[in-house]
Amino acid sequence: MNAVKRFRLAAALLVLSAVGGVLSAVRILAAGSAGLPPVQGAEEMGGPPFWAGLMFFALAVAGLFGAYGLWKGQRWGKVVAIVACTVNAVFAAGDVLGAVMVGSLPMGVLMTTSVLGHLLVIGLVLWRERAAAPATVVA
Amino acid sequence: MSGARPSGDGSDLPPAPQRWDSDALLSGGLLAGLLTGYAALVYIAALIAGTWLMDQPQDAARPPLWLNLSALAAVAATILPVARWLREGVHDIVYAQHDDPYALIGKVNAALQHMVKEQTTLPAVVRMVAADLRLPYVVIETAARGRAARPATNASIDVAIDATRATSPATTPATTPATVAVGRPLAGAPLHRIPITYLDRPMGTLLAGARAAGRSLSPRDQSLLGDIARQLAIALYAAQLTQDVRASRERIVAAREEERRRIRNDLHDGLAPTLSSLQLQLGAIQRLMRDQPDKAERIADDLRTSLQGATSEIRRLVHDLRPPMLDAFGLVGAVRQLYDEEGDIAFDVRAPDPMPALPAAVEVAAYRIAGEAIHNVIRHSGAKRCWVRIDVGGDGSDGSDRSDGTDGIDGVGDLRIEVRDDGTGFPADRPIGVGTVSMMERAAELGGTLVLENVAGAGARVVARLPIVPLRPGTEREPWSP
Repeated sequence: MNAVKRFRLAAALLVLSAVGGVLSAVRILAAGSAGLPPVQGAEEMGGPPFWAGLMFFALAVAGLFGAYGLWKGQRWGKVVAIVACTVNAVFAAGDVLGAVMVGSLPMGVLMTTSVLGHLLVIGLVLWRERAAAPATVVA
Repeated sequence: MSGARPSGDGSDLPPAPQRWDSDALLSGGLLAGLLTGYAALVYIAALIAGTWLMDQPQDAARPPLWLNLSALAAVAATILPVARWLREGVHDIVYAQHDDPYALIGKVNAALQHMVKEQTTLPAVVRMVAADLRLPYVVIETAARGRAARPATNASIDVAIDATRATSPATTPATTPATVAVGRPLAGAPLHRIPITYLDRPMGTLLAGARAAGRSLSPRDQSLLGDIARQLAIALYAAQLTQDVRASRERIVAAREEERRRIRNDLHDGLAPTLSSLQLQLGAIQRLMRDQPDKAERIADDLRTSLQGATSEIRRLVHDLRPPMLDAFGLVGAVRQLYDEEGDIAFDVRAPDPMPALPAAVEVAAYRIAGEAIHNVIRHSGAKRCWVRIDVGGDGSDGSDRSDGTDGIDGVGDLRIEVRDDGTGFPADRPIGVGTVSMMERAAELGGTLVLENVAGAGARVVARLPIVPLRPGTEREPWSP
């Protein structure tokens, strides 16, 4: 797979992730400062806070920008995509842990998929080609 | 690499790697963020694994010491290879020009298209490459031209002169290799060497120092540098051709003037006094033919001898302009007139039959080169046999094939003349003589090549290849036939 295809695949994955992020952020933001009800079985942990909605929304928008930059093969797009995916992957991993703690299998699967998707995007962006080059290293 | 020196006083250096420049900050920040994220992920993964092992999910919020230590060990065990991989990827993103790599090619191409002198353009190109690719050290070394390789052993000599490029050492000095460099190589950073070649001719080398110690440039960087090297090769080749054409024109003008001077001297010093003498003798005959007819008759005899001398002089002049043998016998017949068939050396001349019509310049050059080569065989080789091969090759596009598998020069047909003998060969310490230089010049004037070499086993060989420019309409001649 050449670089253009890698970047475009990563951009497509990032758009999917960003759209998901926007939807969950809108859901949190729409609930207002009262917040969403806690996950069943983990009532003592409470629902997601309002600032989390703001942050997810900002991350999702950054992801969309990053995806655009990636699609165009721009350096800033790669940087933004890496930052957004790293933060998203860490948060999603935390959600996996939360899902395990409350025993929510669907949430666990969804968040694990999210973690793997973000790692895949990072891997696609950072992947170095091993193609033969005309140069020889002399020293 | 030895020999490479920065071309300027340091003001033209590319951006040297600074401790706190924006790219370094970006690279370090990205790497730090990625490693932090990686450590967090591993820790969370360890917690999840531990949660399953404990079978008490709620304890994950307060992980025991052994679980924290396990997570720490997992991070410590994997952080180095992951960091190495991440660092290379981040380095590529931050430093390599991935956004529009061929914009650099376009800039280099634009600079090379306006190249007037290599000395002014190449430093600009080197600076451009170093700045755009953020390379600490870039060098362009141009190859020397006009090489004449001498063998190391006494057994044979191989003098290969590419007359299309080098011309003769007597008239055009070979160019010396030039080195244009910017920046300084970083300690421990690999140097990448990209050969600059055009049509299998080495034109130079592009050297690029890696951006960090122990890390080579990415394949994409190397590929881009390879593309730049190809652009450089074309430009350098074109520049050399331009120089060669200019030098060739100067040589042609000089040769024409020299020829005119020689003819003028011959006419002035040889024919003119002879004609004046004839005029005086005729005047004397007029005065004496009535009163002293015997004396007038003697003078008339002298007059006839002088006329024969003048005629010989005119013949010599004409012969120098164009050997009459060529008109009388054609190229092959004229070559056969160059040796004595009853002599000690057995000559074997082979040529296409019928011989196709050749441009006059090619014919004369071929005749002169063959004459000089045969003359050398007779006088110096000690040979018993001599083979002369005349061959006309196509440009390869017409399906024509030659016995040695060679095609024409640069897409046009060529005349190949080979003179080989079974003598002692060229001595290793033989200096290049006037005759050899003359052969080189004749081949070079037509854009051809001349190779002198010893044949493995015994003897020597002279091979001249002269490109045949198609005759202009209206100047075609019939194939020569006796």
